[in-house]
Amino acid sequence: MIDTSDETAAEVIGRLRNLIDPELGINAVDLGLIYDVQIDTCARELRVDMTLTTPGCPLSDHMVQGATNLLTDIPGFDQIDVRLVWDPPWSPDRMTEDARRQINERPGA
Amino acid sequence: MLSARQAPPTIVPLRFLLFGVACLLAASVWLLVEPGVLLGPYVRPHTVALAHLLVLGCATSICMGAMYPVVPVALDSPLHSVRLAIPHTILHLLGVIAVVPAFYAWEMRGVATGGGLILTGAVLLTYNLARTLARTPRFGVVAGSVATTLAWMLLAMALGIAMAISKLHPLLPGDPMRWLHAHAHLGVLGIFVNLILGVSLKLLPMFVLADWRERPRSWAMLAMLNGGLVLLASGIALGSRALAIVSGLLVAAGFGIYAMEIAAILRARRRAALDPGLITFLGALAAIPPTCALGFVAATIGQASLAPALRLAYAFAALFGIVIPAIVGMLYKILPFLVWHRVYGPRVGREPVPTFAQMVSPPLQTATSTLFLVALALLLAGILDAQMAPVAGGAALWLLGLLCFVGNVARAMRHWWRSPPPAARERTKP
Ligand code: HEM
Repeated sequence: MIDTSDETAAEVIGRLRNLIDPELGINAVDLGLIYDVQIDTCARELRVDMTLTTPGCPLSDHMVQGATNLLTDIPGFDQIDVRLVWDPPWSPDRMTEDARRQINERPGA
Repeated sequence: MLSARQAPPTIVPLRFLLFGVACLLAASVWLLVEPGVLLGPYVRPHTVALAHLLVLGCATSICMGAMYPVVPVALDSPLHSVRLAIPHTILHLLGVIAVVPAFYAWEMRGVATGGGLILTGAVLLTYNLARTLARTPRFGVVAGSVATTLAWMLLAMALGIAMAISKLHPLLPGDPMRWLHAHAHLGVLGIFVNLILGVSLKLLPMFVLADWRERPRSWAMLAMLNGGLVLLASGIALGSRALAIVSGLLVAAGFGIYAMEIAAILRARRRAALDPGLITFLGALAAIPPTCALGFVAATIGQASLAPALRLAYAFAALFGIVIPAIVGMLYKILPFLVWHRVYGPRVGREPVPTFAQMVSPPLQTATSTLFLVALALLLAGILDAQMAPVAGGAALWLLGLLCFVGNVARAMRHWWRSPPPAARERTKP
C-alpha cells in the first residue's frame, strides 16, 4: 500500500488512476500495478515503480510512457522516472476492492 | 523483458489476418453459391479448392499472422527478425492466390508450384520463430506447442506438394486416399489444433485473470497429442486401421487432459463474466469431443453406404466447428489489440483512449456465434442426409454470421484509418 499522506504522492496516485489497462478496463492503481512512489524534493526527482499484469506484455512501452505523460506537469520536478519491475510478479490478489467489483470477481475464486 | 519496440510492427500480422478474413468471406460466399461442394464424394476439384481456400487462405494465414505478435508474448522473447516477415508474407499470399485456382482447374503443376511458394514462406517463418524460441528464458509447454506446430506445418505442406506431384509422376507409393487422410490430419491436428491448445494455455489465464501454472500433466497433454499424431499419420499412411484407431484414442486422451486444464483455469478465474469472444473460443473447444466421436465412427464404419457422408461431415466439423470458431474467438482479442497498439498506444496519458472491448460490438459478437451454431447444425444434418435444402439454408446462415463478424472487424479497423498516431501527424506538418 502506497502512503498517500504526502500531498505529492496523493497527486501522483490520483493522476495514475487515469492510466487504464486496455484489456481489463481498470486503472493501474486499483489493479495494484503501482508498487512504489519515491519523491526526492532535493534532487527534484520523482520515481514510480510499476508492473503489468503479464510479463513480456508488448504494451509495456506504451504504459510506461503513458504514466510518464500523466506525471510530467506535476510542479517541482525536473525528472520523472517510471520504471517497470517484475519482482514481485503481479497477481490478482493485488487488486483493490473497487477493481474486484469492476471485474465482478467470482466468489471463492 | 519484451517491449513494444521489440515486438513486430502491427502491420506484419495484420496483413495475414485481413487476408485470412477475406479468404473466409470468399469461402463462405462460395459455399452459398455452390452448396453442392458439401454433398457427394469429397475428392472433387471444387471441394478440394474450397477446402484449401479455408485451410491455407484463412486458417493457416491467420495462425501464421497471429504467431508474430503472440509467440514473443507467450515466450517472453523478442522476435528474431522483423525483416524476414516481409518475404514470408509475399510468398504466402502469392502461393495461396496460385494454389486455389489451380485446385479448381485440377492443374497439379500449379498446385505444386503454389504449394512450393507457401512452403518456402513457411520455412522462413520456422527459421524466424526457431531463433526466437532459442532465446526464450524457459522452454515450457507453450514453446513446445509452437515448435511442434511449425514442424507439422512443414511436413503437411511438403506432403501436399508430394501428393500433387504424384498425380503427374509416380512418387508416393500405395493408395493416394491414405496419403490424403494423413495429410489432412497432419494439417488440421498438427497445425491448428496443436497451436490453439498450446497458446490458449498461456492466453486464457491472462484474459480471465486466473493463476495457472504449467505442471507435468500439461507436458503429458502435448506428448499425447503429438505422439498420437505421429502414430495416427503413420497408421493411416500404412493402411493400418488398428494403429489409426489406437493412436486416435491417444490423441483423444490428450484432449481429455487439455479439458482438465481448461476446467482448472475456469475454476480459478477471478473475472466472473466471459466476454463473447471467449465464449466463441470455448464453444469451439466444446466441439472437439463430438468431432472426435464422428471421426471414430467414420474410421470404424468401413465401406458402409453412409461412410463418404460421415467422412465429409467429420472434416467439415473439424474445420467449421473447431478451427474457424476458435480462430474467430481469438481474433476478437488479437485484432483490437493490434489496432490499439498502433493507434492508441502512443496517446496513452495524453487523451482518453478506448479499451479493447469498446472497439468491437458485443451484440454483433453474440449474433455471430448464435448464427454459426444454427448454421453448423443445419449443414451437418444436410451433409449426413445428403439433402441440398438444409446445406443451402445452413450456408446462408453461416454467411450471415460471418458478415456480423466482418462488421466487427470493420469496427476495429475503423480506428486504424480514422486516427493516425500523433507521431505520424507531426511528421506531416510543414
Ligand atoms: C503447400 C500446401 C499444400 C498443398 C500443395 C496441398 C495439396 C493437397 C492435395 C494435392 C490434395 C488432394 C489430394 C487428392 O485428391 O488425392 C489435398 C487435400 C487436402 N488437403 Fe492439402 N495441401 C496443402 C496444404 C494443406 C494444409 C496446410 C492443410 C491443413 C489442414 C490441408 C488440408 C487438406 C485437406 C483437408 C484435404 C482434403 C480436401 C478434400 O478432400 O476436400 N492441406 N491437399
